[in-house]
Amino acid sequence: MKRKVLLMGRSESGKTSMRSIIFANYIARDTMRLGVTIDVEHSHVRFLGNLVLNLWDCGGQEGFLESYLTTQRDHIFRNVEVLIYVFDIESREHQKDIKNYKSCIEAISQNSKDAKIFCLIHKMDLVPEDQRDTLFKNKEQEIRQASLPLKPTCFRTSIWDETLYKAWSSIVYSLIPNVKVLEHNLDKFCKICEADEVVLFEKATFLVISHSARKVHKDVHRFEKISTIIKQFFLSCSKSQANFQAMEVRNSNFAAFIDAFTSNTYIMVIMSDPTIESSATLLNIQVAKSHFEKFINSTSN
Amino acid sequence: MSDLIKCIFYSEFHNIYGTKILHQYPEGFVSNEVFEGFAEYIIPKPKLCGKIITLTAFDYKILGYPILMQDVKYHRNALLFNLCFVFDKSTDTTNFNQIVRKLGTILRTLEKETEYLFNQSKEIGLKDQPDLSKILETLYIELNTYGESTFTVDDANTINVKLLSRPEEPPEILPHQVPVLVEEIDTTNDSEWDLTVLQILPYIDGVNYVARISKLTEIDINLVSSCVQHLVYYGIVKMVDIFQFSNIYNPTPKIRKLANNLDMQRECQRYIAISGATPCSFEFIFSLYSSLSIDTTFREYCLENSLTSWGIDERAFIMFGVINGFLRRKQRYPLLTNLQSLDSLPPSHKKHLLNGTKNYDEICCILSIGVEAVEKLLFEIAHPDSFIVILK
Repeated sequence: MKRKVLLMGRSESGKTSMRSIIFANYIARDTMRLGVTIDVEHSHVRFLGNLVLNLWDCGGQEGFLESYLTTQRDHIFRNVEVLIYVFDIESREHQKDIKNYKSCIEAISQNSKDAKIFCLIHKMDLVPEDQRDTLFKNKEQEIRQASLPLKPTCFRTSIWDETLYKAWSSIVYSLIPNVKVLEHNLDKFCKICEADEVVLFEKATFLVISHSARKVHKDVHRFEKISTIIKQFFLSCSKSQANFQAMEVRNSNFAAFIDAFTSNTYIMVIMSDPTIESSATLLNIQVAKSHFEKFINSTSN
Repeated sequence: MSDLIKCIFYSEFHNIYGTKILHQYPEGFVSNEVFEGFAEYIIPKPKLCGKIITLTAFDYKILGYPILMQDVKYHRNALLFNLCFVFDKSTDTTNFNQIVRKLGTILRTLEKETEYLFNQSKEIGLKDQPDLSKILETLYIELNTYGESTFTVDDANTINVKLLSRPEEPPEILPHQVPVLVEEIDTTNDSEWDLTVLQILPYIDGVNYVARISKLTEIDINLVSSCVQHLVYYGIVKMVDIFQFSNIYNPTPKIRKLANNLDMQRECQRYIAISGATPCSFEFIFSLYSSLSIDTTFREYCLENSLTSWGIDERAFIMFGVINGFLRRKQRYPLLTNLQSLDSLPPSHKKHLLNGTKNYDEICCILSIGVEAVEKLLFEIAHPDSFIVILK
C-alpha cells in the first residue's frame, strides 16, 4: 500500500534535513553535510510492514517551484495523501513565502482535494524561548488564513529537540489505516498488564504509532522525548556495532520495559505497581507479540 | 569556417533562484524563457555530473559537461556549474565533446587552486584574472574562425584548445591483407618510435601480406595486426589485397573522381610509368582502366593489352587504382553445394572453409598454400561433396 507524501517549502527550510533524521538515521549535526536537493528526490520508506511512504522531497529553489506549479503540476500534485509544507521561521521573505504556499494549496485543492495538510514551522530553536509561543501562534493564524478553505494542522519543530518527532509522529499516525482499532487493542493490553502506560513505536524511525494510558501523566511531550532519547541510544549502539534488543529501566517509582514487539514495532510498558514482578510483565509482552503481529499485518493490508 | 558555435554560456546553480546563466556570448542569445525550458538538463542531479550531456531543444543542440564540486566552504556544501556550447540542431557536435570536457575540467582546476569561479561570482577579480565573459568571447570568436583558441588565466596558466577531428575507427586487419605505405615516414629518430613499428616497417612493401610479415619478423601476428591498425588509423598505411596475376579487378564508380581530378591524373601517369619510360597519355591510361570491366584475370588482360610494351608497370597500375578506390578486387568464394554436411562437423574441420564466407585469399593464407594449388586441395577437402565458386 503506497502513500504519496509531498515535502515542500522554500529552499533551505530544512526539508531534507528532517527527512534524513527521521528516516535515514542522521543525527542533527550530520545534516550540515547535506547538499542541495536538485528537483525532486524520491525515497520509499517501508513502514509497519506493508505500508510504503513514497516521499517526494521537492527542492525549494524558485526555478523548481515554477516548474512544479506549471509544467509538472499534474505529476507533482495528483494522488497526494499528505502535503507537508515547511516554513523557515527565520525567513526574511514573509510575503513571498505565503504567496508560494498559497499557490501550492491551490494546486493541491485542484488535484488532490482530500489530501491532509501539515505545516511545520521550523527552526524554532533559533527563536528565544520566551518568544516561541507567541510567534508560533501568529504564524499559525497566518497560515490558517492563507489555507482556506483547506484546514492544515500546524506544528512547531526543530531538529535539535523532540518537537521534530511529535510532528512526524502525528503525520505518520494519520497515514496508518485502522489506527483506532489498534489503539483499542492496546487499551486492552494495557488493562491486562495493569500498566500505567503502553506505547507502540515504529521500529526504524521510533515514531510513536499508538499509545494507551491508565494513569494520567503531566508531561504531554513525553512521547516525542522518549522517541528522541531512544533513537539516539539506538544510533549510538549501532555505532559501536552493538544491536539494541531490549531495555529495562527501574527506580523506586516505576519500571519501564522497552522491547522489540512485532516485526516492525517496539513497545514500551510503564509499570508503577511494585507488587508486579518484572518477569510477569515480560511474559505478558511475550504472549501479546504474536497476537499483535497478526493484527498489525492485517491492518496495513 | 562558418560560425558553427552559435553561443557559449556559463551557468551555475544559485541557492535561491536555481539554475541560471551567469555569462554568455553573444549576450542575450539564450533568453531566460528559452533557458527555463531546458535548465534542468544543464545542472542535472548529481549522478549525471561529470558526464558529457548533449540535448536538443527548440532549434538548438546544446553540449555541456556539468560539474559538481563538493566542499564545506560552499553554501550547501557544493558548487554546481556547466560551461555549454550552443549549435544548430543539425550540426554534428562529436568533435566538440573533447573541448567541452577539457574546458569544464580546466574551470574545476582553476576553482580548486585559485577560487576563480567563486571570485567571478562575487565580482571581485584578482587583478591578474580575466573576466569569464571575456574568456567566453575569446573562445567563441577564435574557435569559430580558426578552430583553435588560446587564452591566459594568470601568469601560471595559459589554456589552449583545438578542434580536432577524429579519424574513423579502422576496420579489423585480416592476415591475408597487404599494407601499403601511402605517406612518408621519417624514422631517423629511432628512440621515439615504437619498437614493433620499427621492426615491421621494412617489410611493408606493398607485397607482403600481414601473416607473411609476422613470419618474416618472427613477431606475434596479433602484435603485427595491431601495429598495422595504428598505422592505418593515422593515415600512413592503406590495406590492399595480395597482388596476383590471377586476380580479377573491376573499376568502381569512383573512377569519375579520376576523370575530374587533374592532379590525380598527373600523379597516376608518374606512378605507373616504368622508370625510364615516357609516361603515356592520360586518355590512354583511362581507357585501359575502363576496359577492366570484364571478368578476366589480370594475367589474361595484360597479355591482351601488353601493358609493359607501353611502358606501364603492371603492378603499379593496379596498386594506384586500388589505393585510390577506383579499382576493386573481385574475390572468389567457394560454396559447398551440400551445406548441411557442415552441421555435423567440429568447428575446426577444414570443410568449414567452404561455407561461402571465406575468399580464396583468406583460404590460401590459412592453409599456407599458393592459389594454384588451392583449388585442387579444396576438391579433396570437399569430397564427396562438390562446391561452386561465387565471384563477388
